[in-house]
Amino acid sequence: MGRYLIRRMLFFVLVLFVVSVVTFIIFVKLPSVDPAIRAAGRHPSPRLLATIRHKFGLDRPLYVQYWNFAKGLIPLPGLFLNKEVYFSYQNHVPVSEDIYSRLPVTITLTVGAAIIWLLIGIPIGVVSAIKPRTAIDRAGMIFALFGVSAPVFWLALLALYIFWFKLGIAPSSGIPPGESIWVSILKGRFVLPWFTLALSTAAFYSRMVRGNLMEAMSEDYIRTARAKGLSERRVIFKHGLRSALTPVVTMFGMDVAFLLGGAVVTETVFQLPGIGQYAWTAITVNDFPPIMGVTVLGALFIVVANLLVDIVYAFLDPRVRYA
Amino acid sequence: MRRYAKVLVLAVVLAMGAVACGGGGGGGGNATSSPSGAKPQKGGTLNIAQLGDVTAAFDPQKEYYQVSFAYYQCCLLRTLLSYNGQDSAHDGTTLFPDLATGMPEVSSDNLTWTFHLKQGIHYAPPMQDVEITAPDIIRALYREATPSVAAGYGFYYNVIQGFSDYANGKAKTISGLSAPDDFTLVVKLTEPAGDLGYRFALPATAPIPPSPSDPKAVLGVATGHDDDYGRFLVASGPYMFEGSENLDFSVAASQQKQVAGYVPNKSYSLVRNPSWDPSTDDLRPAYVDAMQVQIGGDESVLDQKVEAGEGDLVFDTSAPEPEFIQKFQTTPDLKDQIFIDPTQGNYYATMNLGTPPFDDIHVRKAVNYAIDKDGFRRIGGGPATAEIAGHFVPDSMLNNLLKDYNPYATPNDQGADTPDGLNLAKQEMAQSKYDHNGDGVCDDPVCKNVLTVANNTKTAQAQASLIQQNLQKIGITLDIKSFTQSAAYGKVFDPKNHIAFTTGWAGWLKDYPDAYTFFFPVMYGPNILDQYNTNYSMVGATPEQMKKYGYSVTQVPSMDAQIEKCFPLTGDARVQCWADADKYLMENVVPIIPLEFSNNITIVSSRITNWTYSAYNDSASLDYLAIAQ
Repeated sequence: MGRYLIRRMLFFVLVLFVVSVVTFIIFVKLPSVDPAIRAAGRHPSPRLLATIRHKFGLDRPLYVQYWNFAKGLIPLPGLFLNKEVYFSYQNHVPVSEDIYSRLPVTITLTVGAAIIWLLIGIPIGVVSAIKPRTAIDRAGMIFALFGVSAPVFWLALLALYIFWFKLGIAPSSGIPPGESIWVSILKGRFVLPWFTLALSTAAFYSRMVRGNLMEAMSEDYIRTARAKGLSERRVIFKHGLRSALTPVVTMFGMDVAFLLGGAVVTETVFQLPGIGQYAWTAITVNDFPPIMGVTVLGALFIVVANLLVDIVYAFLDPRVRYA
Repeated sequence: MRRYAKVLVLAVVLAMGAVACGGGGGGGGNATSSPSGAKPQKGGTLNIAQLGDVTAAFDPQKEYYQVSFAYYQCCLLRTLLSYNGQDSAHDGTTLFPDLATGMPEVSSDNLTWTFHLKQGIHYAPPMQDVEITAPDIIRALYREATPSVAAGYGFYYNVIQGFSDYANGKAKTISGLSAPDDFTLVVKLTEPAGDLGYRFALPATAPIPPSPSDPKAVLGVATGHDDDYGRFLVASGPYMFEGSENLDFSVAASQQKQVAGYVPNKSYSLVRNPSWDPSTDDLRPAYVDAMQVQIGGDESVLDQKVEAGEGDLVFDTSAPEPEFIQKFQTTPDLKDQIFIDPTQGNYYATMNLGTPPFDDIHVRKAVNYAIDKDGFRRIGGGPATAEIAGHFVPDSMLNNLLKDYNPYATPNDQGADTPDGLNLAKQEMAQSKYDHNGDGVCDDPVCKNVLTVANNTKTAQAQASLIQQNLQKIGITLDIKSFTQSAAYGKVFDPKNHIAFTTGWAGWLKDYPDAYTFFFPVMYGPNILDQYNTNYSMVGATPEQMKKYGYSVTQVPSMDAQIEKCFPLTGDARVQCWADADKYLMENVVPIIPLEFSNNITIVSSRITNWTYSAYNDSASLDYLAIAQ
């Protein structure tokens, strides 16, 4: 296990390196407008341009520029997202300040949505699998088809229109200035974003659970379990579902990690000041340091989630062992 | 430029998929319109939504953006001179004394301007005991010139003696700025600048208090805040950021805590400035007690919140989503909640004088006749969104001297889409050296595949296609390359790219209500830059510049003499001079096809009373808006 973890950590470093280099090349080497010129305003003097380039570190050789950014990705105090390099070229606000203040919103959104999509997706998948080709199964699969097909931005707008604008039973978008995240949760400001974000994932999960469970239920060990006289409930939940959920765990880890990196559309439509909204704002103005910070943070979440999933795998499936 | 760029992005948003809006609505009109018809009352909180934050975290020396200018003018900062926050019909573009006791005294040679400051005006907490004085204005200008601050528009002050020397490290002081006493500011210029008053109404000149811990510090309380003074802003207007009283300038800059009421990219919370004395301020009624601003979100949802009354207005767009324009204009209950006002901004197509066939004035005139401006506007949203332009500078900036002037008028402004319009275009083209057989259709190879940059939004693409079809009728075919707004600007900013034509997505918005801010950046030869060049047509470029940028055409027409003639003038003579320059531009240089003078369209919630449009800010006057009690 120890050797496995070391291997994964090395892989993790490699992934971060690749992601950071690609991001750096895209946004620093190939920007549509020189960030120094953008920051200098109109009619800049050469001296002013030189000052800004120096301030942004753009007068350094490319490898030095990259290294300065790369250092900021090392998760150690004083280095991680350090303010000397990781500040917005637009408004000079440190990236860490923005990310840390926005992370609670994104975590709240992600965790809430994840709970909902598990609570919706898995039961529908199970019921569909144990009652195939029945009305329940068909309804479940129609739900899945709808959820998978409907774009999130459309769902978000539709949810707001119906539940807030027309019926008035849900709050509108946004978190008023000064309102804490707990108060927002209690006031139900996350309910529509949670369900919107959860719907498409729940639909996908229900399809996956249905397929996996149906396959598992035709396995020999299920027949053996039944022959031993176990109740059908025990057969399904103890033996069938446990096996069927293994790939779901993989997906779950990836999905949660992906959303922690920012649910751009949901956060934008619902006016939630999270990481996704921050990333989107930065991309639209080609503000490199926040883009780099968010991208690598997203990659970090995904790599860590993968690692956790692999560990959980070993507990879920006795056949999986890491030597 | 970023001020323009962002506004224009928003204006393109305005145009996207817009519906034809046949006028009507609440219309413009100032300080008279209110859904409830009630008299404005003090109190309440204005709930404002914005799609994005300001561009430089409210740093007054750096911000160069219409929205931040509006917050400063209405609410946060007072300047020596300012505006009354109304539309141009109600003197909204006229300068009034603000911190100054009256208009400045100007010497007979126009080189010395003297401002006298009102006494007894104090800063917002925590500097409530500090009186605003002339050295505070000087401090702001030093900050504008300080290289490490990287300020946004120092070029407006290069005309002050010693300003550029200080900015370039050649002098230790700005010799042209002095304060003979605490309430007198003397400004000496290197050359006359008739519009200096406007420049002293820009937020960069708003006073910065001295540092309590180091009264001799050149930048006062802004010392150590080269990159983030906006988050430590000491207000002088009727409002301040909530929590300003907790700012502590007695400790080192690195230990100071930012103001709580401004969270970049998230929210602003403005509350009343207890130091503000309305008896010293004739320009700002300041009706509401507070303003809450939420940043981000989907525009249609934000418009919906306004309709539902959960938000009062969306502040940083030039128009709501098209379906909301239509809904508010056609629904009886909502009709009083939509307001259409002219901005001092325009849209135009550009022709590069250095790239054939546009080196021939007859071709340029023929193109002016050929384009269907009415169709262009229809695609962009119809008459509600803009007036059709016949010349370069918006009419309200020229006191309507050129209101009916349109040297390339065609029936219904439909250009080559009408037989008469096409005929006019062909007559002009027939005089061109590129129409060899004189049939009014360009038959020279230079008219084929003319390098053109377009914006890639759906609306801009449709407008580009319309122009393409129009020009085809006179033998010009366009090779259109489409980009995002930001990338498209990136292409045309570089004179080495030889972009021959742009399709009307580019525009201009004033910095202050003087046509200098149109002619100087866009049509003035000495302002052509290697990068970030906003003179896309290369008007007034020297032969050396043209060679340097690789053009085969090296002689291009200039506007420099006409523009320079206006520099020292003031008052009506100045406006007349700019109007003459505009006519000269349209008849003798013809580097552009003026398309639209754009409108601002705002929807407000039903509780808003006293709608007022600020011609200076090109947006709602937030200090005039009131809440129905």
